[in-house]
Formats: sequence, C-alpha cells, structure tokens
Amino acid sequence: MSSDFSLTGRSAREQIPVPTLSMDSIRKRSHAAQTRARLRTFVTAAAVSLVVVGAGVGVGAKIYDGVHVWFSGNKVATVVHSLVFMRNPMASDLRTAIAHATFPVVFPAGIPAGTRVNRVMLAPLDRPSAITISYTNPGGFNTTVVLLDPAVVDANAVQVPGGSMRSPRTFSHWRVGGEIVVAGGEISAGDLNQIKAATSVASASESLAATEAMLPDIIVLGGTVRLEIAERLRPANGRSVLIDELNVRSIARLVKDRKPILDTRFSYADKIGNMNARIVKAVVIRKPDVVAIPADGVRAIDAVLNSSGERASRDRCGCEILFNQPNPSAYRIWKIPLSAASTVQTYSVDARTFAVTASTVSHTQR
Amino acid sequence: MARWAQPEIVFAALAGDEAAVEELVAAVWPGCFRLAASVIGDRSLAQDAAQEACAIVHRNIRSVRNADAFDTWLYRIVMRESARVRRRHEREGQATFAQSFGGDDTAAIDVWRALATLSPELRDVTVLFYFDDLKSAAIASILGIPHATVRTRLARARARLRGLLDDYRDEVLPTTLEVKQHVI
Repeated sequence: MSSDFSLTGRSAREQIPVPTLSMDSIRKRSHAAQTRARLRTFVTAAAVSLVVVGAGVGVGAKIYDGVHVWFSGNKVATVVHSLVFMRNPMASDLRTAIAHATFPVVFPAGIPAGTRVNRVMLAPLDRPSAITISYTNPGGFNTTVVLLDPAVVDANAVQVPGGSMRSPRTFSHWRVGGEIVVAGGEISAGDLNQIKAATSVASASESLAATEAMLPDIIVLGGTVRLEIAERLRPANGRSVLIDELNVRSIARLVKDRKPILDTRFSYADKIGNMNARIVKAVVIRKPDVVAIPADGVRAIDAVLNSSGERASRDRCGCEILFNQPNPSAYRIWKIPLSAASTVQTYSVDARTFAVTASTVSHTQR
Repeated sequence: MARWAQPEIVFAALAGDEAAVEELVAAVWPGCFRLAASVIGDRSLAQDAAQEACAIVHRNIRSVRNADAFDTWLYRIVMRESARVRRRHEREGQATFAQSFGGDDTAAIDVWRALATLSPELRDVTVLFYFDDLKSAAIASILGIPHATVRTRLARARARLRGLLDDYRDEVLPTTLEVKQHVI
C-alpha cells in the first residue's frame, strides 16, 4: 500500500539516527546466546521426561543426592540439581555412565523392533539415581522411559509438591527389582504390557545388551538422518564419525581457522535452579573439548568437498559425511547424499598431501 | 517484503562463510535498530533489542535452511526481541514511547506522537503494515498470532489514528475499504 501515512512513516523512520554497531558486542552476545541455547536443551530434556518442580515448592523437602521424585496418582514431579545429557551415546558411553549408578540398572526390555536410542540423560552428575532413555522408531514408538532409584522417590505422596504442579501427560510407573520404571502415557497399552512383562524377567546384563544394540556404533554429530547407511559403510578399523549437513557447512570455516570438529554429544549442567516448573538457570560445565575429527581430518573433508570444483557443491553438498582414519597415512570419507535417489561416493585422501582419490566403488542407498 | 540485505551476502552467510555472517550483521543492523525503535519508542531499549537480534543472527544464521526464509526469520527475531525488551521495561514501570527521535520534521514528529498513543500490540501491526508494507498474513506469521487478530488490530489502530491525526486529510490514512483490500 502506498498511502501518505505509509510514506510519512517510512520517511520518519529513515530519519532515526542509527548508533554505531559494535561487532565485539554482537560477538559477546552471540556467545551468551549459545550458552542459553544449551540451557534450553536441558529444559527440553527435563520436560520430555518429568515435570520439574519449582524450587520454592521444594523448600523443606529433603533432596536425595540431587534428585527427588514424587508420585501422586498418575502425576509425577521431580527436582534435579545436576545432570549429564548425552545425544547419540555409544555403548561404551552408556556403560561408563551407569557404572556409578546408585541402583542396579535394568534397562527396559521388550522394546519394539527397529527402535533406536537417541538420548540418555543421567542425574545427578556423579552418581546417577535417575536415568532417562529416549527412544525413536519410524513405526511410531517415540517415547521416553525413566529409571529411578527407589530411594529418591516418594511413591505415595498425597499431592505432588506445590499443589499446582501438573504434568502435561499421564505416567505409568512400576517397580522392577531395585528400580522404579516410569513410562509416559503415550505408550500404547500393548507396548506397555510387553515392556513390563519383558523387563520383569530380564537380567541387568541382558537388558544392557539389548539397549546397546539400539545405540549407534559410530560417533554421530548433529541431527543426522543417514545413520543406518553409515553404520553399514563404516570400516571395522579406525574410529568412524558421521556428521550432519549443518556440520558439513561449517567445514570451510573450520579449515580456515585450522580447528577440529569437537565431540559435542555430551552436555553437563550443574547448580540447576527451578522456578514455576521450569529450569530457569544452570551452570554449563565441561564445555566440549574432546576432538571428534582432528583439524587435518577436517581439511581432508574439505578437500573432498572441493574435489568437484564447484563452490556451491562445497558449501551445500546436500549430504552427510562419514569420516574414518584407518591408518595414519590416509583418510576414508563417504559422501552420503540426503536424497535417497543418489549414490554414496567414497573417497580416499592422502593424509600428507590431501590428494583426493574417488573410489571406483559407489554404494546405492538401500 | 523488504530486503534486509543483498541476497549474495545472505547466501554466503548461510553457507557458513564467517566473514559474510559479520557482513550480513552489519548490513541488517540499521534496519533492525530502526524497526525496534519504531515499536519500542526508546533509542536505548531499541539498541538493546537490535543488538540481541543481531547476536541471534550471528549465532544461528546457519539454522536458516532457505535464503528466501531469511527476511521473515529476521522480522520475527527483531519483533520478538523488541517485545521482550519492552515487557522487561514495562515490568520496571518505565514504559514510555518517545514522541520524537530528534530532528524537527513536523510530519515525522506527528507520526511518533500518533504511535505513542497506541498500545504495543496495535503499534506492532501498524508499523509492520504501514511502514514495512507487509501483508496481514505475513504479519500474522511474524508475530505468531491469528490472521483475524491482525486485521482486528489494524482496524482498531486505524480508528485510533484517524481520531488523533485531525490535521491529516482523509487520504493521509487509508480508508477502511483500502485496509480491507490490502489485508485480503
């Protein structure tokens, strides 16, 4: 529309003097925003598992080793003071994490076939008494199950603390040996009965083995969608890393800065504060410092992306990258297209010269 | 819809070019600041909101999958940050909308005085509709409110502004029919 008011308004706005932009200030705020984003991850993680009780309503309640859970009917609430949040954990990560659990952990059994575990959260940090496992399945079994040390649970609370605390979902909970299992109400009755029955007869080692089978056997960074293909492609030797498209887009910048790709799968939070059923603050500790792909490996990936000779191809390859270093003198890299119709390309890169050799073998995505 | 920056800068920033990201932030900064100032009415608060918006661009630009979505994405961020800053200021009981941003342009002063009389909700849609020439559907998407609510607010704002800007002739503010034609 082009009315006088519009023109006058635009003109008035154009007359507003603009202060000088301080890019340093923007960078600092950007860094702060990154920290807040991490905190939001924790909030989400907590929200999908249990309702977090406000600190105010927890006054007077004993906090059992950093975690306290109340059941009242099918309502549940919890206070968590610290946690570790693991995305795409591997079997070794899970074993290490539960080694210090305060209770004998029996993982849920009878989980539908084809299910993967994509997130695990443990609280508190050092001696977990609460373990949250998130499952995903193309068939629709997308749910979260929480395993609790009975010592941190008030199982027959007349009312969850605060009175006004309410879960958005209903929960089922039952006891198996030395743990309490909490499952969200979104699980179908059939699946729930199957899980209850199977878990009640499963040993700790059997349930761990079954859960490990649902974990990736390569390091997965970002929201990858080609995990199963990458798992089939990965060589038996050398550490394999799968990175998603967003990470691929950061390769040029990392090469320029001679930086590695860090293993960002694990986040640690301490001194979590709760208010009005939300985690409102937390101290993010142990920032990522484990290298997933070294700087030279990043350079090798960049060489592969550059090998097509087109900037557009390098910046937006529409692919995920599987990285492997079978020996010190070479890298192996697979470009796995996001489009199922395309074929996977395999490359070898000389670790000294970064010369790229496209493999004669390509893989169709099945 | 207004273009915040040259498409090639947006593309380069989306592709992860660090220098392009900072170039993009510098390019969108004046627009971010002026939009925030228009809806908040305070230079200092607008600077806070615009800086936060630019920091989000700096941090999250790679999350924008499609360059065509950048303009709407940035509008949404600036409006959200402006609302956040404004709410915080209101809680502190210091909410005032400046009736001038300096200068002696009478028409401009009239505009700011008129906007100062509107509630923040009416001011948001008025600025986006009249100053940014956005369709009501786009405004609804940016503000996260129903399309019908945008239209209602526009009608209320117009009624309020017509009463206040008596010195303006009829054609200064669009007629109800014009508004309807525009929003449909």
